[in-house]
Amino acid sequence: MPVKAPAHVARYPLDHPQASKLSVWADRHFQYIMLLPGALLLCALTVYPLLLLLWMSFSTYQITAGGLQSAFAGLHNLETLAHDPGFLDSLKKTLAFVLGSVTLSFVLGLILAMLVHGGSTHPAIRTVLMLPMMVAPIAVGMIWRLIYNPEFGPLNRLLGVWGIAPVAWLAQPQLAMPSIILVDVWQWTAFNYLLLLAGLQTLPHEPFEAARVDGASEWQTFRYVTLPLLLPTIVLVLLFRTMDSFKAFDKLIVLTAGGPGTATEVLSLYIYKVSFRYWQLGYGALLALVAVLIIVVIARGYERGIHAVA
Amino acid sequence: MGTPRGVGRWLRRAALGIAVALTLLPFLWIAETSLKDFKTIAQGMVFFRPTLDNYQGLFGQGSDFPRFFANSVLVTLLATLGATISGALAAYSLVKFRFPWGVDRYLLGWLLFVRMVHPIALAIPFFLIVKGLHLYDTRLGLALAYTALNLPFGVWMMRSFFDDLPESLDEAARIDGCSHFGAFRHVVVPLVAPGLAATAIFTFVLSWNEYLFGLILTETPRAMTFPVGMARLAHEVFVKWGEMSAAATVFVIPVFVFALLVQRHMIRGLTLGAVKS
Repeated sequence: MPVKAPAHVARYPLDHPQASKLSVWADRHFQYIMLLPGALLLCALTVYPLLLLLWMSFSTYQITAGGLQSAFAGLHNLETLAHDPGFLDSLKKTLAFVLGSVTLSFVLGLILAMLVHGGSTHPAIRTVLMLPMMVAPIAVGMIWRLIYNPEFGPLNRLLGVWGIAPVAWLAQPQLAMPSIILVDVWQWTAFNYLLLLAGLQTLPHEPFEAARVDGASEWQTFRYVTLPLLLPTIVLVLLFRTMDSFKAFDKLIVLTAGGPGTATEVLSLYIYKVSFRYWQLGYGALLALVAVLIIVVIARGYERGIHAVA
Repeated sequence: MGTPRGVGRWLRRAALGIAVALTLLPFLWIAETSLKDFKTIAQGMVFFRPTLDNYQGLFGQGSDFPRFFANSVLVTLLATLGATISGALAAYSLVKFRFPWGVDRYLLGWLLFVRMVHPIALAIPFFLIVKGLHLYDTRLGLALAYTALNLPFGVWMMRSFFDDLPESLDEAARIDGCSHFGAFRHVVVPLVAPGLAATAIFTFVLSWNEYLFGLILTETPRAMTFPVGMARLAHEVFVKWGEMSAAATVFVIPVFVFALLVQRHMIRGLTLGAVKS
């Protein structure tokens, strides 16, 4: 495609004697000028805050009449961490939540993707199926609080039709965790479905042809052709989902806020409670650093996985 | 794969039908509840006389919600502009030019890291910074935070769009006597405009949906955003289910509209440009 600059643009080419010194200088340093706004914002709004977080994790903070008072505390916060049963407890809750949500939403997403891929599907259906993940987690939390409502929520009413007594979905310690996992699954199955479907659609045709010629059953084709070919996409999807579930906060705070007791208090909620309910900002900062470390470890793990399968 | 026949075909249709129903019913339920008065909600009736009372209560006299809504729109717009523009400029530079000492690779890596980081790890220091700058409970403070949160997305997403452009385009413009900036402004930007729009829409939705920073960096209706105000309804002792549902409905509808607009770029957006469809 031939491209021609509009005539008014190149009125004074840069090698023209009348081209200004400034425009020549700007042209020479173009790449840095372009990068500057983003780089400045990035330094001020991400590098500095994360360095501050590091510093905060070695400090203690107290609210006094004069505002927030900080003091250097050395390894005090680390000592607290080593003897904090609340932290370990929240890690266990996080593990349960992440495992439950990632596994279930992956399986459902894969089934959905196979179903949609397995024949012609109306575009409207494809669109509808991905709606939940665009909606704010906080709104999803509110919607499901209404659905789970023990007195007049539609779920209990539906069960009532079959004579099942009302269930307190979010208030019973044993039920609260599965209930919130279900909400996360409802929202993020869409993500798995969409990416896995895209993965399926880019697979080469030949291996499937070969499997058909060899007389492989549908299950065999799925198990020995589709799954191995899809593996890179699967690892990518699981990586994104694991990190996102680990970071889940909004919908949990509106559904259970960690309750009943601490039955659903995952790490995100615990860090929030320590920092902005008990105002132990220093210790909260250390916990947040730990959360960052965990995410890095997760990402590294999957990165190895990707290299192993690719 | 061909279309399955017979029983398999009907099973497939039934399964998809159930999936669609399970996806849509929660949305329909909240929209329906928003049209019910309190008595009808408590009775859990399916058929009822719809009323707009909840919406009037939410946006009528003495309610903070018009303010929440305006705050959300303003903060989201500022962050969208900031993150999309600075992101696009940086992305172009990173795609087109080489940098000494691998600066570009470190930068992209850092952006990825920021995107992965637990948001509370940024929220905690941001709380102190914003307090220190006397920007606590202001919309500017929030807009800055949202710009920071979305910048990685803006750069990575725009990078994938610039990558798609043919190599020789801006070269040709340069030969015609264009400056780098002229080539960017008059040749590259028009071509990448759809990508720019998609990036802006994604950024808008991400900021619009954001809750944690809004919760931590605001405390009065002066700067509080819609989702934060909405969630407060759910935490009141006596929950007004009708108004809560109305708020959620109003909040979700623009997102649906935007989702339809960026459907084509959904996968690219979700994977930071790692997967292009």
